[in-house]
Amino acid sequence: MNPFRDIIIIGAGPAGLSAAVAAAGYGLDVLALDEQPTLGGQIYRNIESASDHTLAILGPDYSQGLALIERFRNSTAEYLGNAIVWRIDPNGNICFSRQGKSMEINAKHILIATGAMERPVPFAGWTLPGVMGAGAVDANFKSSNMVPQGPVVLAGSGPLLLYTAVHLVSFGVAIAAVLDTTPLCNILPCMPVLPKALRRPDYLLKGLGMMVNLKLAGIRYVRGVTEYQAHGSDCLDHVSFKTSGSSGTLDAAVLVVHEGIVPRCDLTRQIGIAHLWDPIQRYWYPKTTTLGRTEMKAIHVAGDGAFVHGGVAAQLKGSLAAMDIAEALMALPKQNKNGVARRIKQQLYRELAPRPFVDALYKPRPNLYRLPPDTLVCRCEAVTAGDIQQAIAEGCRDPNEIKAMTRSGMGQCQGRMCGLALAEITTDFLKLEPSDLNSLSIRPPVRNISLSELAGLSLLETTPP
Amino acid sequence: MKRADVIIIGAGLMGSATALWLARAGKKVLLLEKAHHPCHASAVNAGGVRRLNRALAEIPLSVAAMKLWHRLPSIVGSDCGFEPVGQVRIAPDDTAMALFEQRVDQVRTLGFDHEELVTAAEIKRLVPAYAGSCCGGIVSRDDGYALPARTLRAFFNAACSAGAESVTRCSVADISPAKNGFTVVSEDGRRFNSEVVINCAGAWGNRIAGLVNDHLPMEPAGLSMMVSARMPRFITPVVGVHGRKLSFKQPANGTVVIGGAHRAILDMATENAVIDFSEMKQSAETVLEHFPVMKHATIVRCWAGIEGLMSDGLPAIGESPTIPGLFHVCGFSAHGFQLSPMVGRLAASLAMGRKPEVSLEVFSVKRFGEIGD
Repeated sequence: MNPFRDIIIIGAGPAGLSAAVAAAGYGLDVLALDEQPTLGGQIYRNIESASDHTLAILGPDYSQGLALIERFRNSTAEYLGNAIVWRIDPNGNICFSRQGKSMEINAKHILIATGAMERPVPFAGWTLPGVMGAGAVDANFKSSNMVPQGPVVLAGSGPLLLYTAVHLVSFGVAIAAVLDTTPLCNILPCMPVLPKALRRPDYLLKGLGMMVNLKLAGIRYVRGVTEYQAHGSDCLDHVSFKTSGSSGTLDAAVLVVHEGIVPRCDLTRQIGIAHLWDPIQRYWYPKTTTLGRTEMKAIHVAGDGAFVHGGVAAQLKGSLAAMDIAEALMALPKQNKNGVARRIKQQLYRELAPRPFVDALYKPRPNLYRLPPDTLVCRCEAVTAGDIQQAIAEGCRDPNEIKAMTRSGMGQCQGRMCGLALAEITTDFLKLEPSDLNSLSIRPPVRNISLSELAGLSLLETTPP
Repeated sequence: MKRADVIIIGAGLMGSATALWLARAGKKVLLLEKAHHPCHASAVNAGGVRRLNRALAEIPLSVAAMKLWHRLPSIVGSDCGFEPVGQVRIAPDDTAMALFEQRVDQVRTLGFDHEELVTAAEIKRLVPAYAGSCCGGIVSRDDGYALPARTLRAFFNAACSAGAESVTRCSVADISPAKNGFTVVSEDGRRFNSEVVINCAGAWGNRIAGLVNDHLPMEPAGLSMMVSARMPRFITPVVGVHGRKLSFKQPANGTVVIGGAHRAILDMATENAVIDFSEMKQSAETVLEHFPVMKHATIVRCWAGIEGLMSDGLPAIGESPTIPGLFHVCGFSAHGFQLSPMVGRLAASLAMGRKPEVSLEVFSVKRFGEIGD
């Protein structure tokens, strides 16, 4: 494999694939790396092998990925699956692991298109077997047609929770209840952005359609849930919940939780790009221009990893980033770029019209991280909310110091799971916002590799031609 | 303008420890820290608490510091995670062993007996997982390791409880003589006044010295480390191998911390030390050669701290030759962690015009000759 490329795209989901197609179209030499064994990212996972039945169940949100992948297959872009990038640098060097071997390659431009992940939220019992994220339910179905055995309780907030509930109904899975934690007080603040959202009635109708669907299926739907807990000794046995006026328990074999989607920032953090804090959706996102350009010349970010806008927007953002890179590499004259970019930006604005409404409606509930002291926050290192509060009481303010004191975020996932919780617990305690403090440093390798693999790392010996 | 008896620049371990002893002696202390929280050498070093194999000039200081390590709970209210598991240095060949013999003799001649020459069999007993060549070694049985973040927090908190006041996000831009001492001005224009100023700015010590036209022969360096996921316990003491870039230990939590002075790529403008993976590759090779048990170890992360290395490897501890009342306490050349509790006490004595309990003559800034403009 040629180790020196024009563009290396990390992530072969909607943003990465669309960027690859566009960049290859400008005559650039493109390599797309992805950690999954198949193309498509989370949203179009395993779509090339999906049966007609699966395509029918998952509908056009899923099947529209086929056309994109076909365009990618027909392009000159090269693809490498099972490739786990564990370190990038501002000069375009990339170290990745594949089949137990690590090597370094170089790109004139790197496009980070690593997408989003479910917001990890600790709560009492969240580590019990039987508790899973809605994203994992979705991934299991797409990759191996597996659905959980009921009774299933779904809890949390956000479109993906409804989407998952509707799909479980269509698979015939027994659903004990949906516990919706969306605060009722979110409704008022999202009214000013409703008119804008009405420009895309299709989205709102889809949301309403899902609610109607659940209603027609006779699913118990509890609104205004303020907290829920998972109970059981070896595995999940039942779920308890509270609303402002009542409480309840539900027997459950599986608890599916979903508290929103946040950008995956491990690579953007590792390389040291500046990040901004979104006070509505409460997550960090890398600072980029509309075209995905970061403050580092050779690094772009596109897709949900830049800001969570969904799969269709991710494709558009991927195309924009590819144009910007092509222009920088002098493969696309500026005047040509501007015309096309304007058209895609218009499409993007239309696509994003309902976003402020959706983001405000599903703003995380304020007590999301107000955890009892014995709640496990960092599962790698068994650190509780109480341990973190203790470190704060000792005077720690910087999340990196709290990490060093408590070991929260020092384990094998390097804070991917507990990082947001650590920031929120700390700043809630100090009456600050996470943007007032530093955020957790992510160190290379961002994914674990064996010492033997590191010893055998194949480094570039020459500089780019 | 804030006034104090003593201004300490840098709230890392040296600054915090110095502030502690000064405040306990009744001095009003201002601790100025450029960051929100110290985050370089003090916070992220490997945590070695080592007298073993120190430069001969440093041994009296190191031995005195060790006594403090053993009674930290009574000094700062925390054991700082100190585990006296011993430190071992292995001689891979006869030449190294001959050097070790000579060294242990020298240490004994100075009147110290913490370094003990041991046979290959004793090394095998202490470090059964070691698979490199071995002709014996030296051991310092009461040495060990501690947790840097805990140590720093304990000293900082103890200093504040004793009355020291800290000012964070306060990068010093100017130091000038004033009536009864100095005026110190931060980059954002805050002004402070004191009789005495102590430069505890670590790798930035030379920048601070430069503000009064002292020039220390110091070079900043980023030194890298890596840590594995937890493993079944296989090693107790901290181990180094003569002639090899390897420092190796498995703290109580089961992870393995690997150092060895592998350089990171340093960018002082952004205060960033970027890991150089050609160095980490070499480090991994060295570990596998000496500890095959690590073959299946998982590397969780690599990181680097920024250290100030002096041209002769010894710190600068003493009054500026040109500016009376200004003291330099920096340039610990990547081995200051163990010394810090005692350095704080001695620097406090210096600043108060008292004779330090351990002579600091060898660390005097005067050893560099004319350092002023």
